[in-house]
Amino acid sequence: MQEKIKGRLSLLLLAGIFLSAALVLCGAFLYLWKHGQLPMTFPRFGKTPLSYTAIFPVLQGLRLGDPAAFIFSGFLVLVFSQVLRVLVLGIYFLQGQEYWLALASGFIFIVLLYSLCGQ
Amino acid sequence: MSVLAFSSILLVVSYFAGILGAITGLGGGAVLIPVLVLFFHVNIYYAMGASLIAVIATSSGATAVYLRHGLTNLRIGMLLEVGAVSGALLGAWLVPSFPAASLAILLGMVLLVSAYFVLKRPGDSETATAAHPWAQALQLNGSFPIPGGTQTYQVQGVPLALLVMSLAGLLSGLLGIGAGVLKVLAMDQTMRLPYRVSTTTSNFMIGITATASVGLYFTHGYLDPGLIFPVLLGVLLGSFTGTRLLTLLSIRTLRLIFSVVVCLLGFELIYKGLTGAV
Repeated sequence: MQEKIKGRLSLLLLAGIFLSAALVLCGAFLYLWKHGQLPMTFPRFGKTPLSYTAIFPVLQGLRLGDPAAFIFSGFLVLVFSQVLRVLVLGIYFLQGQEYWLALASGFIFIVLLYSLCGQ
Repeated sequence: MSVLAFSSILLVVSYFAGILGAITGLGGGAVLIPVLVLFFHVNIYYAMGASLIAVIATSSGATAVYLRHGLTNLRIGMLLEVGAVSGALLGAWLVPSFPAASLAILLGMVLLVSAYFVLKRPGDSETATAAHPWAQALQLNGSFPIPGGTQTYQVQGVPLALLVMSLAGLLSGLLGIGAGVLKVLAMDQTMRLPYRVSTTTSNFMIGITATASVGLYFTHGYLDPGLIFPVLLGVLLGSFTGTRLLTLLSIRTLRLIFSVVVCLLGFELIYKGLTGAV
């Protein structure tokens, strides 16, 4: 049983990695196509106002083909694969009647959701 | 320097940070933030945001492989994460109220202390003979494969480890690191787990801890797409390479690499923080 859940988690993480990497690669290609030859001015980091500070605008940007939206959506896929692995483990512990560990997983799941969506 | 050249250099740096993060269990952020701040003059808040993404990527890449090797202890990982995610959320919430120089000095000190403790432990054979009552109740004791069989281990010091994990989470959120150094330390020295179990379980945990704090960095606008893509891709590739190296390198080598790198970067960060160059 333990080996089965480890296999599932490994698959879940790999799926998250590949989907995330694919989206980020698309975004990187478009981003470098647009901005690649521009000179890098270091102070730009920290001074650029960012519009992608919530999930919904990222999805809207994705529909418009904005490179930054592709990069942010790859980031979100990676992050939500972490949330999913906590959920999968919580269900596993619950099925195995390991209630303390299921409770711990539930608490972690809520904290992660609050951090990402509760602002 | 063009954006393309910067992205290429950052991709290579992130690759090596990913390797180091995967083999030591520290997540790569402890290397990436000083490099971004000291060599590329990136604002430290943005460097911390990029570093958290590196931590999540390292954790995903390394954990996907280590889970198949049978080294990671899922029960310990999830139990200790309760303390870590609580601390991480609090730490990320506190970030905007800390000046950049203070964060740099604090991070430098955390790196130096971590390097000292990792070098201090004499060997890997000091696993516990008696388990803590919580470890027995929650079935935390485990085993891992060694050449020619399996080796079992007993888990000690669970309450103290939970406390250390809360501190690790706080530092993770506040400094944008995986705080794998503290996590490995707690499991290695407080719980007396075998070093490889500690590093792989830490790798499993750091992604979840970093996720708890990266949400606040995201909503505060501390993530820049120009940093995210080279860091994410480089670290992912590096973490896969690191997982292959883990079985080839000796524990002494792992500790030495870890300590030398974080010591150098720690001194540099403290110096820059004190002279106001951050």
